[in-house]
Formats: sequence, C-alpha cells, structure tokens
Amino acid sequence: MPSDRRGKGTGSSLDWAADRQIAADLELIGELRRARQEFQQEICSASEDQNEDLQELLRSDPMYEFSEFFYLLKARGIETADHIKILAEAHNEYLAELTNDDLKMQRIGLKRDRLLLAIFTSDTLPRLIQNWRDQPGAIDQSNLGRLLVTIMSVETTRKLVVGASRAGFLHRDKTPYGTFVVRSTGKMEDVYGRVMRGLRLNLTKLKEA
Amino acid sequence: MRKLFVLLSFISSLLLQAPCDAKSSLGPSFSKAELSIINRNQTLRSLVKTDPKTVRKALDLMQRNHIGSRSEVPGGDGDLQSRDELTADPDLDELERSNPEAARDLFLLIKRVATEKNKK
Repeated sequence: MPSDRRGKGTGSSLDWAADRQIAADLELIGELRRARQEFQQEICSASEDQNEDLQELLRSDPMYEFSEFFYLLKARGIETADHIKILAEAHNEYLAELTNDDLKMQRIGLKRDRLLLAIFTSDTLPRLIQNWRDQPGAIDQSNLGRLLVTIMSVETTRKLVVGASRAGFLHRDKTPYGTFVVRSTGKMEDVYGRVMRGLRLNLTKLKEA
Repeated sequence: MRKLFVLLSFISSLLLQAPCDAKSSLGPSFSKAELSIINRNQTLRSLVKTDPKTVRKALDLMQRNHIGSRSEVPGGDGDLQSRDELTADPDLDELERSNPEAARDLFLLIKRVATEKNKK
C-alpha cells in the first residue's frame, strides 16, 4: 500500500455541463445515502436488545466499519489459524511501514506509539493464533483492537464489542486470564452483505438506464 | 503532548463557536460519572489539578459527541469488562476520527491476505 500518491488530489475539474453525467452522479449519491440508511435500519432491527442507548451505538459510523471488517473476513475466506497468522503478519508489516511514514501518520491521525502497541508481538501473536485454532473466528478483544487500530480507537472497539454482544452479534466470553474472547454470530456480516448486494444491484440498474 | 494540543484546539474552537458550557461560574464541578472519566484518562487527570475549566469543557464536548460512558447503572457498559490496558486516554482517543485512507488500506490488506492464502 504505497502512500506516495495518497493525500494528493488529481487537480482536475468537473464538467458541470455534462447534464446526463450529473444526473447519474446524483442518482449514485442517492443510492449511497439510501444504503447507509438501510444499514442503520437493518442493523438496529436485527438487534436482540432495543435499548435506545444501544440503538444509538448501532447507528454510529464506527459500527458500520466494524461490521464491514467482519464481513471482509468472512467474504475473503479468512477462516483458519493459518489465515489469521497471514493477516497478523501483513498487519505488522503495514504498521511497520506506517511508523516510518510521518506524513501518512499525520494524515490519518495516528501516533507512532499507538501503532507500535498494535503490532503483534511474540507474546500476543501466539494467543491470536491459538484462540482462532481453538474456535475459528474467536479473537481476543485486545487483538481485535490491534487489527482495527488504524480506523478506530481501542475504546471505540471496546464499546462496539460490548454493544454488539448485547445486540446478539458477538459471542463474548471471559477467559480465566481476565481477557475477553469474542466471536461473531454472523448477523452483522449478513446485514452488511445484504445492504451491499442491494446497493450493487441498484447501481447496475443505474448504469443500464 | 499532541493529545493535549488536540484537546486545546477543540476547546479553542468551542470558545469561538458557542457560549461557555461550564455549569458554574464559581468553578466547575464534576459528577461521579465524570470523575470516573477523568480518572481513567491520563491527560484529564493531570489537567484537572491545574485547569479544571478546560477539563469541564472537554467533558462537555465529549458528552455532545456521546464519548465516555457516564453510565452508573449496573449492567451499563462500564462494568461489563475491564478497559484495555494499551491506552492512556481511552475516552479522549475517541475524539480522533476514522479516516477513509486508513479504511481503504484495511480493505486492501485483507484483500492481499486472501490472495496470499490462496497461493499456499
């Protein structure tokens, strides 16, 4: 993921006279907005707990990204302990690159010390792999926070895990060591996937129109 | 230090935008729930002794953004699990927003992993 061109615009201008293009662009914006709204409605509706505070959390932007992460793992077939090991190693490699790129760190609002703490070490990597091996999809909450470090704070991850557990989207078990291991029930991924499928099909129709 | 700068920047912008939200002109007071937020955020903990008004404004800002659990009810999220030990300012960190570039990087990272696992 080279960052040399990221953060720089193309510098080109929009052709405002292209009426048909503008009309299609507007349809696209409408579809994207509809999909986000549909996600909120569906994720709230799928919750086993209709408490208003919880619903507010489920409607939040981080919840959308949280669901997307679990969807990506499932859709990309990250299933076995070997797969999660490859993911952790790629994650470490990415964070190592990021810590050497001051401009990018500044751009995405992350500090070196936080990134370094999110790297899987000889202590945390075996735990990640073992949890996944014991039960595919099972991940220590701290390790989940590590994988999501670039898109949300550890505290946001914690809140989402607690909320998603109450909603019935995650199994959340306390280990004898006082840590929490979480595992998706599959509902978040299903909601996210259905919304994306609907969006894609509607966009295809737009293209044909 | 950067966190303090971010916090002070937020507060400066608040001062320009809206009247003071401090609950008392005699000096800020903090509820039990707010004190627990202060106690678990290192920056707020150190700031409260020297500049409690700034802490008051930070808490008001966090409340408007639904940041920092104020739940004192059993079963609220605060008592459901221990907080992560990795972060000094868990609630202040939430003021930092997600970034599209980082989200796309994560998407591409998982895509790359899927390609690699299929090769093996």
